[in-house]
Amino acid sequence: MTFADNIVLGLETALSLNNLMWCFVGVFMGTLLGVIPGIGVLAAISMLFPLTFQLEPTAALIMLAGIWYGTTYGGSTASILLNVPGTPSSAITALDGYPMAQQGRAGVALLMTTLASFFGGSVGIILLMGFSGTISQMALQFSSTEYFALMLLGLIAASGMTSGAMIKGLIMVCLGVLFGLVGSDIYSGARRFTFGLVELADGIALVALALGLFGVSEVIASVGKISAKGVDPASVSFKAMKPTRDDVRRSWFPMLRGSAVGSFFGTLPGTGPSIAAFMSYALERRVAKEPERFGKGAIEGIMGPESANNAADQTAFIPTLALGIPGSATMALMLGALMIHGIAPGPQLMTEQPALFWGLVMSFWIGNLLLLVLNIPLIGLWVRLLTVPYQWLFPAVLMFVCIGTYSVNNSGFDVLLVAFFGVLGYVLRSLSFPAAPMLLGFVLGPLMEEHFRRAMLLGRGDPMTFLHRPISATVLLITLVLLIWGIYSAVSKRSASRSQRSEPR
Amino acid sequence: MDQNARADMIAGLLVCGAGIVIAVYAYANYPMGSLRRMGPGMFPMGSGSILALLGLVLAINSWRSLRAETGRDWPTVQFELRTAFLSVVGVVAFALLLRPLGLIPAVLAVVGISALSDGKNTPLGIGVLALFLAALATIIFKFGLGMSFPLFAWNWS
Repeated sequence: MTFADNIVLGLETALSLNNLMWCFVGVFMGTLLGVIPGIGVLAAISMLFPLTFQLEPTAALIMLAGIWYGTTYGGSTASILLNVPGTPSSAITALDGYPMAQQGRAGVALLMTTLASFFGGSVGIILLMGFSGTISQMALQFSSTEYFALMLLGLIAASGMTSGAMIKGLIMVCLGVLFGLVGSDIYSGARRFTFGLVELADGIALVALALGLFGVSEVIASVGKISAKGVDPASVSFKAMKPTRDDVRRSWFPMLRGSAVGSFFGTLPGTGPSIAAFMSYALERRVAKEPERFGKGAIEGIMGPESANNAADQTAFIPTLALGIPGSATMALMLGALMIHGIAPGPQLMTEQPALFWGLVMSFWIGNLLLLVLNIPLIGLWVRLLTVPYQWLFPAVLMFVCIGTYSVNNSGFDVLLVAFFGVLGYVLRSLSFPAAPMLLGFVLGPLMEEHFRRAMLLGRGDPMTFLHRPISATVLLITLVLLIWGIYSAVSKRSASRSQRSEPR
Repeated sequence: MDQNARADMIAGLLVCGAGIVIAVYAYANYPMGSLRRMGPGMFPMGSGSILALLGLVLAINSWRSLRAETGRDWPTVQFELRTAFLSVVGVVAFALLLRPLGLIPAVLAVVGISALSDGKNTPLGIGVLALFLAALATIIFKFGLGMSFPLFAWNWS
């Protein structure tokens, strides 16, 4: 099939009424949850993704992608209007977005971030369309050895790139891997770490782990700390959204630069949108003629990072879909959702399920477009939601967490697991252990074991097999360099106490 | 939040202990196999050992910075015990009540119990909120998505 055929196939799939509707539901619900302060992207996605289990895989994936955009965008809205960012990438938007809101320019900021998101997202999608094919062609030659090496790289990179100490990230990855091993062993069928509980024979449910770790523990951490603030509705009216000519002129180059930065960091394992947004902000500040305007409502300071994080959101799908190796916790959730639907992402996905792959890619675009169409008229609604007191919202969040978890397997046991992971997540969060690497380890752990054991079998029990193949040797070398660099920077910075940023995605 | 060396040291030791327990448990209970044909115990034992090692590194690192900065007053880690306890009890109550009693009692329990953790909620407010959310859950999940749990039940399983 030619490239054009694929695009047509994708558009046909994505534009079918059914899929379009689910994309819309996803974007709407995602924005709704994303706007609520104290619910980060990961919590919002894991709360909504039980809903997709009722659907067929393509529609489910399209809805998931919609949910994801919605939550990201909702997060930016909350950070611009209230300065309560749910994610580090929207924390960067808040740096200049919130000052703009205080100057009565919230409407302009919201409209322009929507446009920047669309622009950055589009760049990312084009790259995704261009490169996925090449990469999955290459990956067809990969054996278990390469897969193991790549997964190891992903895990080490993810634990090093999160805020705070790398050693804590590594500990969380390792804990995640161990939780992932609970259940039946794929080769021998032996039940491991089930302690005689039948419910654990199939392993720990991804939803239970994610909702406990991100939903419940986030609620515990934010009760009593978030208070609703009033927002002047006039500042977000249609009239107030019109950017000045100066705003538009200043926005072009930050968007282009942001998209480039974002596309690059999105594909790297472990970096993802937050680092991309941060890098883009730093870059904009450096190239600006008047850097002192930043932090006081400079429009460049929101356009660059917003395009960057959306471009990164898209390009992060390249390794996830083409190799089946997620680079971030969000992607790990997506991968987990795919596997629950019985789809194994990897190089075969594009050839075996072209409708699913291209439908998803095209629906990214449609999702972005829906976001644009949906949010401009609905900003007023989101603003009103922000004025609902948090002491009423959080019990509702917990209720949705409970029902959502239950609905996946019709299992009360899973809800108990949510409580367990909620406590664990809260304790670890209080001790400033990053939670996201644990989710990544949980999803990748069983895959890594499978590939490791197969590679050792094929290598006749010789661990050197990982170094005899050029690709895996290179990847392992990069991993080692990252590890050494992480240890070195930890030792050299040890005396200075570092400031800790909030939860990474 | 500063890196808190004292808390980190304790956390590191706990992680190390957990890793050892996991590795020993895997070794004692599951066949190891050979390097060529690994049994179900090999990978868990390896992961547990790495976890123990990482915990030890964290503990030693923190111990070193504790010694380097003696006299510094490390803050104690604050846990919101009341919120944590009530939220978790709410979730557990939902899990235990849904099966025998149905959706509405379970929702009333999780909302009613967890809402207590915020001092700004009045008893009347909690009651209204719980009823409102029970109605919302019924509309969305029972009628909207057609999920198969009864609203009220006695000994449903």
